Amino acid sequence: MLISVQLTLQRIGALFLRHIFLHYESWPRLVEMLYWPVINMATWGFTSLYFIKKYTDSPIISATLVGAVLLLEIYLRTITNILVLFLEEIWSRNLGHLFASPLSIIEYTVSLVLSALTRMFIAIIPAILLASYLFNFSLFSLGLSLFLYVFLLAFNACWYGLLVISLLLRFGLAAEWLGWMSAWIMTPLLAPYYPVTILPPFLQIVAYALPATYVFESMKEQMNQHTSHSSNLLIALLLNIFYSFVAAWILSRAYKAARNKGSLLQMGE
Amino acid sequence: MRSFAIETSKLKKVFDNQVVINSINLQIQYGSVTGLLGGNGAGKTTTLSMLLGLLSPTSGSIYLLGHDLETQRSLIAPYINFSSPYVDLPNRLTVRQNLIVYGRLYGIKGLKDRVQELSEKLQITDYLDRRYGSLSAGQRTRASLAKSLLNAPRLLLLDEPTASLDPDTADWVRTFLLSYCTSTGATLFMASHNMREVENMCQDVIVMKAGNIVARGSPQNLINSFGHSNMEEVFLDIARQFHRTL
Repeated sequence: MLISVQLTLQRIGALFLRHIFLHYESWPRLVEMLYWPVINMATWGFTSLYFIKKYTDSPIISATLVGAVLLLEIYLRTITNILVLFLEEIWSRNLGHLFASPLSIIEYTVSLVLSALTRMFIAIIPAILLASYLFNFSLFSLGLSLFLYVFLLAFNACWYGLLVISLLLRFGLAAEWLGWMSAWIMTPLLAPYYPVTILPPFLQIVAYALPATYVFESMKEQMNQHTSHSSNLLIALLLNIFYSFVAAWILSRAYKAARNKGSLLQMGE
Repeated sequence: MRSFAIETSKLKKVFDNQVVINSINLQIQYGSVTGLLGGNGAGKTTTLSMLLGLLSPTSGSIYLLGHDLETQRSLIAPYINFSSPYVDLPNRLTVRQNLIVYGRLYGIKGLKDRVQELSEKLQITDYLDRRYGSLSAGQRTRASLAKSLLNAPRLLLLDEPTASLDPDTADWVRTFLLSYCTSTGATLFMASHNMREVENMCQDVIVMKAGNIVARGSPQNLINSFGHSNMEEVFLDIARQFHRTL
């Protein structure tokens, strides 16, 4: 049992190491990793400054917007990192070697998620520093709630990322564009910068079915009214748990379908 | 305990209502070198993919090293390895990095020494720290072989091991593989298009056509029973019979 756990950890670590090696001497990958959070931070930060100067004197609006940008980056970067790291295996036609080895699909998934989260945490640091330097906003001003927000958003992004790679496993590289698109498709419904009530009623129903929506609602509430309903975060947690089981089931079905079709050996450029 | 390194029973694969492997039964002796011959689309790669667990059979069973592949894959996988031109190692990683990652995936103890030992045996020491993607076809084959031998496999599955290699490198690879099997007692099961390769290396040859096993025996037995002078003529005979039946 102990040896089995040890070997499992070793295999998860091996794949994690593969991703470190991949980034180690590849400056384009490092730049790409840091680029989007910084660009988005700067764009939205300056936009919020403009609105403050033009229409209001309230710095809360700017802080809410900048905070939402950072939290949204945590969510989006985790999804796209899962997608990119999975695509790296397809692009290098390496899936056959991986899945013919003792590595299981569960170990592969755990390693993929850990690598994606690590990549996200590294990528978000420059954006946090930029927000502090240019816009005088510290994400840590959210206090202990910040850790809950990050946890719940990353949790949401992980199961959603697994759904995206299920698409690729099921339909192959032809679904790559669908993968990129689906990473962003839910963003307007999460209402990161505005209240959910702005959305049309039928979209509000969809929005409230998504865990990240509750996190953004909590964050905005905290920033604007200095209060926060913990019930929002509890709903987000329960939805995340439910969806992660659904995502695991769909991923296992997609893996089975890939083995039936022989895609693990054929997928590649 | 089953007495064959590879044992399949009524192994069948159907893609989109087309039967690509038609209920084949294989029994491959431990320690043997077996060649799987057949034209394009005969079902060689499909058979190998099923033996590797990368492709699910539509029906039938596979036992490798005495264990059921479907239910006991985790017990078997550490003792099997493979190389195929259809699967690459990550191009951006160096050969050494690839070997380290796969060595860890296979749970190799004393990995650093194992990588060094294999590098020397396969003569890849000079380009261990070069990216896999920058290597020539021959160098890639050697590096890929190093990966496939990392865990000192008891069962080695190879798909066209000398495809796209120059005659000198191909001969070197064949000699190396035979020496590996002789010294370790490993079972080698390889699909090939190269008749001379099969004739020289294999004690047992299985010929496939349209998903069926149509002939089996030692190279000499097949040559004699078909009344030809070499395996190439045997292969052409079988292939043309097939075309006539079309």
